[in-house]
Amino acid sequence: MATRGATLIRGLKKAATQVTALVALMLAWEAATVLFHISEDKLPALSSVLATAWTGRAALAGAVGTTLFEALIGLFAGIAFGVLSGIAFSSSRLLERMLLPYFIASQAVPIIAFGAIIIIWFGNGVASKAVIAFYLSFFPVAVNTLGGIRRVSKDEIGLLRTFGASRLKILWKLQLPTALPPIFTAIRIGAGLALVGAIVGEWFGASRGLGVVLLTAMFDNQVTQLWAAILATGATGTALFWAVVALQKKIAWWQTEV
Amino acid sequence: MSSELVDAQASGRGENAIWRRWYVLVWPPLLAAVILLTGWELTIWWFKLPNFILPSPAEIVEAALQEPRRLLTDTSATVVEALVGYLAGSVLGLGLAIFFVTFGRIERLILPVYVTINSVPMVAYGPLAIILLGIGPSSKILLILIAVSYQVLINALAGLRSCDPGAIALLRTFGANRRTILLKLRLPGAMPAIMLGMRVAVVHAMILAVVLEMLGARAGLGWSVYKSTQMMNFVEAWVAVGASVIVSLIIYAIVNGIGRKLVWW
Repeated sequence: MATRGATLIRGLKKAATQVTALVALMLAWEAATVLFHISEDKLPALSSVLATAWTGRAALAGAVGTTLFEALIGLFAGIAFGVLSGIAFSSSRLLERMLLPYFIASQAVPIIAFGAIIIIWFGNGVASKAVIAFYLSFFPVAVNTLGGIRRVSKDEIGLLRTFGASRLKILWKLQLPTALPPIFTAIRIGAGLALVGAIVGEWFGASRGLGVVLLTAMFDNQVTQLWAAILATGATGTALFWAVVALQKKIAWWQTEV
Repeated sequence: MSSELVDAQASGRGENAIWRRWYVLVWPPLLAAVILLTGWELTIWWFKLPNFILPSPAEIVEAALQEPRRLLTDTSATVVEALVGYLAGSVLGLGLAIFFVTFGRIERLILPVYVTINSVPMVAYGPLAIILLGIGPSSKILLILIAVSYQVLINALAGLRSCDPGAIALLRTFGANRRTILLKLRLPGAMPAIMLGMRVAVVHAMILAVVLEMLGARAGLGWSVYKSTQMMNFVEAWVAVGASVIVSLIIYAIVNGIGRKLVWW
């Protein structure tokens, strides 16, 4: 109980530092634009960025909704497929040896470049962005699921087996719970990647979404609008991150490392 | 049985084991590659896919060899952006980490700012960088520098901090000053963490270079991908995608190799 309180206090302190830094940064931004007379088309004042965001709040919220929707569909599919392929790898050495090198190599290459080809295959709509978000997020989940299942010792499996547990039961009651913390770590990474995937996917052709807002503002040279979209993207990513952390605390409550 | 004989036998088995290990590790991925390539060709042949949906591997290689000079220009443009940003970012990240460890106060001022800037996905700054710095390489290099330095900074800080306080106290009793402690104890201890950060960062650098070029560039693999899809020249897009994959793997392998040399323990 005492340690829990201490962790809570430390967490609050950390959050307070971050919030203070955020406020300080915002003030510094506002002050710099006023003091140094920085022109609007280089760095607009934070107040005018926020004003622009507020005026266009309906459009901005719509863009956030579209992009988030694409990213989440892809992320959920990615988690499901990633966990399943992690389980498949853990139960077949040959499959693991055949495919895992490619999974690992795929993390070292700009796989997002395939986005252009995905758009050709799946069209301009939600599906293509969801597919990009899917394949970006499922790699880390698959690798961490395998690593997590490998954490289980042979003795533990042997013990459950002597009690007559089936393979499915061992997987469900022992291996997956052990693998949950690394899986959640992967989901945190995957959520960020899914968002990036959806945004970059929108650059290749879309009519709605954060990526479209960013691109349109760039072509129209509207720096204030651009900053509003950047802040919205940051807020969306941060919200997604903390949503995953909250979910982890709820589901894998016995081990939470942020 | 003399001990020499046992040794010889053991080493013989050792060699055999190494060979077996290679065999076991190499053939399954090769098999997967063969299955993939055959499946690829068969799919095209069976469904009679036009090459704008899926060109065959042979077609892609042929297209790549047709204009080797342009491919080389694009590849080198991307690699230069990625490497310049990566090297500068690594130096900055490592420098900041050492600075923070030496002067603790400043960290509390600068680190939260860094965290805040990096809480926005770096690609979202892309359009802004293009407006402010133009479509040349500098816009890409700046964003790569920010992303890489953050990654290296976080890992290096964790590594430098993980040092055993007892060891520091021991060196201090021997009269070691701060610099000696940093050079002889903290930095070597932090090397594995730093190398991990630099390995992750080199991947980020290549990804960012390719993705940012898609927004606009004079040359580069990402630019080539974007341009060829807009012009419906899909084989060309596959060439650029393939080149970026191969180049990334090579760069990653090099960084990995250097890391193994430096962190041999």
